[in-house]
Amino acid sequence: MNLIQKARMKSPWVLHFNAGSCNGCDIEILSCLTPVYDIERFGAVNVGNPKHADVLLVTGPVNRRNERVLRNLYEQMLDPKIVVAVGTCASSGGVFHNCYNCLGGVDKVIPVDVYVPGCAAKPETIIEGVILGLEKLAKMPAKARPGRQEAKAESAEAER
Amino acid sequence: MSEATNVPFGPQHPVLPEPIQLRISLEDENVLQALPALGYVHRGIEKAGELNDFQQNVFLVERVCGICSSIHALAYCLAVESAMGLEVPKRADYLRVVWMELHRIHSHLLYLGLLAEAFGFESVFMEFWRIRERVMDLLEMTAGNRVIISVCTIGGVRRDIDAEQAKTIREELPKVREEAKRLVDTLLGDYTVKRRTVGKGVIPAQAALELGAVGPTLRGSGVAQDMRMAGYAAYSELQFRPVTFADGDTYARTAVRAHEVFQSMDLVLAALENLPEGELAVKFKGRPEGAALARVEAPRGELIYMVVGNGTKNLERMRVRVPTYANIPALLSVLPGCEFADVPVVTLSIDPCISCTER
Amino acid sequence: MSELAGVQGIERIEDVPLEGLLEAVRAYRDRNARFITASCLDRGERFEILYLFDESLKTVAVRTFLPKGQKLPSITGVYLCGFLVENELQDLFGIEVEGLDIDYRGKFLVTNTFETPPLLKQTACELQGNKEVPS
Repeated sequence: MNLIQKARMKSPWVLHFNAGSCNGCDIEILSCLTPVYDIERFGAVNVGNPKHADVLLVTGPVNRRNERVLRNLYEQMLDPKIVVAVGTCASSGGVFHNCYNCLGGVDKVIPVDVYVPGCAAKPETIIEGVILGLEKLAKMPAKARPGRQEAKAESAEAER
Repeated sequence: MSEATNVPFGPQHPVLPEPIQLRISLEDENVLQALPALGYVHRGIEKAGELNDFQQNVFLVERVCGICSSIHALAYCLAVESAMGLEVPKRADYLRVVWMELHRIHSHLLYLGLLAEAFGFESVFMEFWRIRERVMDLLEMTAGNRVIISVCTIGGVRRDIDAEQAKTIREELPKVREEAKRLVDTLLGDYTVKRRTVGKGVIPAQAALELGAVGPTLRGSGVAQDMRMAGYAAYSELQFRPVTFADGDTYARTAVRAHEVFQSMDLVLAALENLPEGELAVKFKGRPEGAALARVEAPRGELIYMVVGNGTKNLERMRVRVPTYANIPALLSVLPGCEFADVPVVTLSIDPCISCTER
Repeated sequence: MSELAGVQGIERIEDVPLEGLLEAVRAYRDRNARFITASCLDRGERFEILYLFDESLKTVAVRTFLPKGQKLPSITGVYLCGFLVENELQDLFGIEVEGLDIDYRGKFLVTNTFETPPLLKQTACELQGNKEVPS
């Protein structure tokens, strides 16, 4: 494990995106930052810039308008990166399965590495999910993974 | 006059926990005009409410908004109960008050924390969220979940608060109150906070009424209107007087919420004190046939549900009008003239909840 | 059922023809009523539209019927805050609102990827799993 990989494991930078969630999971993600759960003691930092982030936390079932924003954010993040779908509706659409404007889950748009269950997911579960993702991140080579090119080609096609 | 610059504020912005975009035209540092671009959280819940069974809808409407979730469920249940002519047991009415007010406390503490963060007072944010966790613990203890607590059901409530839990709440709340008081006094008495909030985003009372503002935004302008005065659930039997501040600025709206935290604590304790014995929920048969409208006070203001039944298990129409929807015109009216650096704080002062607004 | 017989929780419903709508709404404004919202129901041949007002904690309503295909006059000249709900009517019911102050032209909440406006009764909403992801 080289220094950069070690640093990435010990201090993952997290980007949070709300893709049409009900706020329940979002305030639980915020709770993770506050003194009771305090993920900053693990070195995790909440950042606003996708190019800085290693972990993308997505909440919500993804709707037709923010789908493009989500794809943009994902493409802007540098490899290696992991995507954590937080909450039932981010994982499968959940209670919004029959809403006309929802796509039904983050994995309909971008590849997902970890699914965190719960409606709303508890802070403990979210932290566990991020840590599971980090284990996966440690095994990833520090260059673009094969899935990425495909995702790009797909979106280019969709834009056409 | 120099040319106006257009700046998109959002949909990804550190001060906004949710995606909403404000398209702001600026001249130098002054805002000329602000227009919202919505739709980033629109899911289509009103239609889904027609496709689901009317009893399943209770779980759907809780997820309109995760911060005031149980209040959505209460409003929906009140509407269906009134369409079906159900009489809710007294104990359920009181338990509803307990949970709704606990929810209001956590929502207002959340707002106060976020406001502090918008100023750059990170440690005050952390402190508010630390004491908020103790309210969340009470919710988890009584309902089994932290955020979406699913306590309301058509005809009553689904869970009980037993004597031991009531005792814990009675012991815990005064401690939380003491800590909250220390923090609120710090926040509202601070020189910098006053400089950033007093006189910013002033909504006069008449304008607030004409623009249809509700909740703390309206009460911060000195209009004493709170749906709890209408006395749904057990509010008619508890001593209730709305909190108002006259100035109509960001400071007044914050002060209303801060004082409502303490008021809600009093209401929880009073409801537990007078908790009658009895059934938790009334059993019912049949399906909603008529139409009914219910108005309740959510943390952000007046929340309205209208249900139209047609005698089948599906509703003909479920209409939701949420508080932030009513407060957006008031926000748009005060943004022009603000300095750009004040936009985050003034926007936050109506405590916007976008997932409510777009449903 | 082709119209509401009455709504529990609404004190009174005043029926007005389409051309008298603005006048009726203005009367409420003159009495300092607070505009709450408008609510629309798809009744087959026509829309049933309720404008809800608050008069010191009591709910009152103005009701009008709009034949499909006709334009709805905008109330934004009377209550500016009506622009949100009127844009929503354009989006979700496909109603054309005339004289709207701030007009998003049907792109307020949804992007136009639906064949029929989503809240019309005729719009079939199949489960998400079978739906194609639009670009």
